[in-house]
Amino acid sequence: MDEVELKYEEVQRLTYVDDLANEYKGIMAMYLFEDKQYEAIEMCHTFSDKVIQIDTSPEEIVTLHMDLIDEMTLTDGELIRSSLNILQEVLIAFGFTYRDYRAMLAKLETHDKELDVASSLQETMLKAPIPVLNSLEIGAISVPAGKVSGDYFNIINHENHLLSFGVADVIGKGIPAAIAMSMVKFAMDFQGATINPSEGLQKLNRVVERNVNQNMFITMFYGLYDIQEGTLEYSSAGHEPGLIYRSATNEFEEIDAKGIVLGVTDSAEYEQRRVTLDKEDMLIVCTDGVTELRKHDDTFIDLNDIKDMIYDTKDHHPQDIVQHVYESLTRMQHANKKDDLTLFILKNTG
Amino acid sequence: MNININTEEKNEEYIITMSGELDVYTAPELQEVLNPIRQDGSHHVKIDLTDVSYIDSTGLGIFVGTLKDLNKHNRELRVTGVSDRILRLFEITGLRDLMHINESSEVE
Repeated sequence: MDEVELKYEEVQRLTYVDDLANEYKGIMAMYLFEDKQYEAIEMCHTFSDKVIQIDTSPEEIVTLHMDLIDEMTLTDGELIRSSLNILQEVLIAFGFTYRDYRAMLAKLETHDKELDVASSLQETMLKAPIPVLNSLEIGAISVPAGKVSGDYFNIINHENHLLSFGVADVIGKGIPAAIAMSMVKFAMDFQGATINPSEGLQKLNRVVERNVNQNMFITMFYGLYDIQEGTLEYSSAGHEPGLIYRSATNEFEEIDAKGIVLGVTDSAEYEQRRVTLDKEDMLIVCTDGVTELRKHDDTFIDLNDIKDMIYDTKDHHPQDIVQHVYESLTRMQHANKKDDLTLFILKNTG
Repeated sequence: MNININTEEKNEEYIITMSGELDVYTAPELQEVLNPIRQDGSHHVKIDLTDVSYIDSTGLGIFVGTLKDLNKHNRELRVTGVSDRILRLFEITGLRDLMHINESSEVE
């Protein structure tokens, strides 16, 4: 079916090219023999628009011109020279198109440079160091699909056995997303340890709501972990549910708290819940780049596959676990449907 | 992946029917259809997702933006034909509480 259509289109194009060749011949005749120089020149402009539209190259036009010199038996030097005015007039349009193309390239380069700025901003300013602590191991990985990531994680060690962390997904791309991310970081940094996740998200939501543009929003999992007690207070702003791995039973539990994504309504409130991590238990938080991953065959990943990947390496350091899961995911991933991937794991090592 | 979008005006409401996948690649097409409707704000909007198999977060962003604009004009956003997979997305993000999703109250 496709092949037949293609052939039909090809025939269409060839007929069209024939028509154009005839049109060019007509213009030449008008210019050289019919004493309609002005009209002929005018016609050159619409003619060049048409040939550029079907991606004709300048050399094809020159070939056509040379063929016509033979076909119309132009032997007189003066006449041939005069016919070149037509060729020149047609080729001028190619010059303009080329200049437009150069200008566009220059614009793209500027755009690329802006993206570089945003991406290095993320690399330097927004990157959170992973603290090394007694009785708690942390693993985190965040890999952008393109130059600039929409995913973000932040870890703040408050030095008084409390640790705040956030995993966020900014919906919206490029520089606005990077700016929204800085807002998340600085709001978290300023809030300090005394703030509960629900209150933290509520305040953050008001900042984000005032600042992001219409289609943008942020999902975020906000946690406050007490390293001595092994207790985790958490809230969620429309983020993917977290997972708890229970070492005593070898089972995974889903944890979620009610709350709307950041940036939609200024009056949002966030539920806060508490869960305790026993020795060797893990908390896993990821972004939808992981849970909604598209496989080679375009189907979605199964959450059980992700659980298996974690389970296979559960006895390792969380940094090795996230690395292992990331590598397994990349192997399964549909090449053209990549999303930013972020995985964050806390392990209570007692 | 393509998306087909059809718009119909009926009883002060625009009914937008789509088929395909609404993701980062196809979202601009829906955006283009919705932009004038969002700015005008004289109509309610109903989006029918019966033939939409997948929505990603960029697609969801359009619903968020549309909701904000329509609320400014006291207009409502209704979403119908939402499959379980897509409903999960509206539930996790908490957006289900702000929009009218799969409500059968047809205004005929």
